[in-house]
Amino acid sequence: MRRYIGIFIAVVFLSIGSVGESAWQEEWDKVLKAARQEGEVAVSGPAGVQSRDALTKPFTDKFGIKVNFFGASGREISPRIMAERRARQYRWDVFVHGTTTGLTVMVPAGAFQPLRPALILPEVTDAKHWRGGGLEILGKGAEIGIMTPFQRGTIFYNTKMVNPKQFKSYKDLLDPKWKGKLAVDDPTRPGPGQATFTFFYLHPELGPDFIRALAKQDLRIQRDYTVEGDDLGHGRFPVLIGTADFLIELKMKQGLPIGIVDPRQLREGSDVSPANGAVAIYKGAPHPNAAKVYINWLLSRDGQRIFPKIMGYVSARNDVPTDHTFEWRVPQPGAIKTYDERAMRNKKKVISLVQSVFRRRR
Amino acid sequence: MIESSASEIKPTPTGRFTLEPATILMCLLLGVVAFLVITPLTLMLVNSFQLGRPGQIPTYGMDGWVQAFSDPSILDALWNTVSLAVTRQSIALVIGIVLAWLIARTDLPGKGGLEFTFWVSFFLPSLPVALGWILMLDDKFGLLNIWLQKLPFIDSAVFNVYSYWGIVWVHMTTTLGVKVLLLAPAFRNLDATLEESSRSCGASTFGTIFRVVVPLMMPAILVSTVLGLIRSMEAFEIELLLGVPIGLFVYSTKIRDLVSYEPPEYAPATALGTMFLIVLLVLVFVQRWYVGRRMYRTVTGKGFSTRPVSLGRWRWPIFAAVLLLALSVTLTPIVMLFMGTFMRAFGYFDIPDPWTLENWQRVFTDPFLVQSVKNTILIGLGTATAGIVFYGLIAYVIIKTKFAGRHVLDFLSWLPWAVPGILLGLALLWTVFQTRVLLFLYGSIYLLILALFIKSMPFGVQITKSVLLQLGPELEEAARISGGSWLQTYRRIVLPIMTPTFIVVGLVGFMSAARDISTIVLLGSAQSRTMALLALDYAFGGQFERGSVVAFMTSIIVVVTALCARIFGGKVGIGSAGH
Repeated sequence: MRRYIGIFIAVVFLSIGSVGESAWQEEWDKVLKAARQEGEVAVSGPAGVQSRDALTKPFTDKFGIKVNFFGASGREISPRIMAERRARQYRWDVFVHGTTTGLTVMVPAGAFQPLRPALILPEVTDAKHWRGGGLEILGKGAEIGIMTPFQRGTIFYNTKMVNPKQFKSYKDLLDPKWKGKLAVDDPTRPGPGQATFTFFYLHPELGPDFIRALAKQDLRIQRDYTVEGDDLGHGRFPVLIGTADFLIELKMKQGLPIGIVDPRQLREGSDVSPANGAVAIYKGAPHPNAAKVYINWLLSRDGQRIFPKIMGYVSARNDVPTDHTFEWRVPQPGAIKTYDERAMRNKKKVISLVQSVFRRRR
Repeated sequence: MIESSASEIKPTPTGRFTLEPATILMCLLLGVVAFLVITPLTLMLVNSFQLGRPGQIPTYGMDGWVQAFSDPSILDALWNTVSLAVTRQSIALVIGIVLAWLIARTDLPGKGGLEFTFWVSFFLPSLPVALGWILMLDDKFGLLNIWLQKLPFIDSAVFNVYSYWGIVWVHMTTTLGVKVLLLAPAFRNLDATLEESSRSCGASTFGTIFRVVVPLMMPAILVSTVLGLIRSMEAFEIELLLGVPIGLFVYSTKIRDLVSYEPPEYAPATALGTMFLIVLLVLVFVQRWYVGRRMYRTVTGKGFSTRPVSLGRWRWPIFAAVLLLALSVTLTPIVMLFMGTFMRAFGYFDIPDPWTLENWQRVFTDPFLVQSVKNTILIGLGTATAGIVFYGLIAYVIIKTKFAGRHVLDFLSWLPWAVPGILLGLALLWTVFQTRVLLFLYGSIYLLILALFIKSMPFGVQITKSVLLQLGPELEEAARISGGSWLQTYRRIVLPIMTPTFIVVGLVGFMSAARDISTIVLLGSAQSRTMALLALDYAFGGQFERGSVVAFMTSIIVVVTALCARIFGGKVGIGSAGH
């Protein structure tokens, strides 16, 4: 009798499982069919050849749906989208940029739709595939998915001029021997420099006092992070703070004499940020089904094997390799986030502080 | 001398086609130009008071203005801007006038080739050029400094590109090119008999240049100076690279900063941008006042001599000096740019395997390359063609007709420069969406052509105007007496004489279209990607060397276009027409 009951229970569970499976599969097939009829998806993403490569061809190859990709920085795309929306023009489906644009402009303007209803594939919705127990979604209406939170490098050095082992804490940068020798990506403007100073501001052991003390070191302010790494390699300055670390990694691979201080050797660690790895669906997307297919693909194992690798990021998924970059890029538990709502709320204070302490240098 | 050779400018009888289709055409032209230039400017001014964040309900106030002008560093930035602009323009103007005169008016050997070499310097992209000069003149690793320090009597770096004069020099590379490009066609329209008369009255060569040639060329010289000053105020790429590390900030970097905040701070940025309107109004007033006082006709119904001035025994030494200058502003950046396309990391000679073909291979296999090249050529040709046709018409109406609205049209044609380049794309975006008149073009390359046409309007119209001022009324009168209509006169008399100028106007329109980023980013679509955006894609991805490949290819396209235009222009220009 017990045997029969066991078989009965197993059959019931299997049936429920297959009903569940057939439910998502049915929905997926329906959405995919409709997406193919729509024929294209319009994606706004970051400028850069890597993002274009990662976000277009692999998707088209897999689904036969054309990707109209437009690469621009968030600050360039946001005024355009806002102007379009005022004129009731809805031309974009998917947003792939940073969270600053998303949280400070797009979400307050109601430009995105909630993300969860668009997630269909079990490998995307199932929390077990994501580091930290599920895909992190930000925004008051849960609109922005965080694909690639990674530990950032914050201190960069010229390998011919500096021994990186000497840095045990950010406070080592206050040593008088560094006065006039440190360069920084301008923290008054959005970018990796500002993210680094947001981290300093938010860190309980650093905070505003550390920023004020650091400013007294006569930092050389740099504005173009695409050339900062070259200047570091040429020895124009021995240490650079807060530049775009994935570009430094790229230049290290080119053979430039530069390096990144391992954040694990620093007492305060470093911050976590997804860089341009935030994803959302525009409200009023003209190709709603293609947008759903695109988002599911991008967040799937397939998509996450491509995008983070090409961009030099680390995926939030725990089932994709991370060996294309430094081991330390995998986020440390409890690391400070410089991309979430708390960080955005503090950004104004950070900007105001750095503007005041660096004013005489501007 | 001037008075004896030219008569008072009066509207020609052609202007009496009052109620004819020509009048309707002119009214239409005025209406369209007014809409195209006043709308973005008005929207920029309105938005300087708009305080709401993008996408939120608009609120208005003065906070943007207060924020913009209460920044204590703004005065320093303004001073640096004015100082750099005036220094650079003063040097470039003197050298440019002499170069244009040597090329257009003398028997300098190889002058055609030299002129083209200066053109090429203007066509080179500014960022790779600046990086090339850093590689040569950096005080630590600059190749020229290293070579010079091998000399026994030099023990420290002679040059430092990261300095005020470093910025001036790097800008000079392109500034000299544009001076030659703009001034040489006007100098060619000078009747050689005027110079001969001056010399026969006992004036020296330099006396003739500065007392006869320069005063007659003032419209072109003033336009190129106003253009240069406005462009200098807008410049920021080189200042960003060379000025920021030494704490030298300029006005345009302040505007750029505000626009690049997230969310962008348009109110203070546009408030700062109004400074351009003030500067423009002053410069236009001075230019109009000066030009209005005198007459500048050099191409009349009388005989026209193009006999070159003999340089005598100075011919070859001057040739050597001009060649050296031409090569140093052209060859050095080209070599650096070309070399950079084969380097694994630009400027790094001591890394393992510094040379590679991968950059070219990667760009040539880029699936977006063909579309980008096609778009660049289409948008460039579209802008150039629209510019030649409409700038020519606008300038003709202003100078050669009695149309009541001609002064308004003249003033309007300057106005796109009142909006700083970095804000113009945005102002045009607002124009598209808030007026909706141009909405049907949104996303197509036609809107980009229109936007770039507006952007280049002051340049095109004013350069054409300056040369039209040189044309006496006799030629058109003769055509009219022979029964030619207004349009026939324009097509068969004015157009051939103006061809060299139109070629310059078209080329600059083509080049601006090929280089533009800010307008295309805001108004373009995935399908209208140009080579400038492709190069930017590589640069943003940290692949500057591959971006240099695209920039180099863009320069080649512009140079080839210039060469074709030059060959065509040589066949129909005033000198070859045997006037």
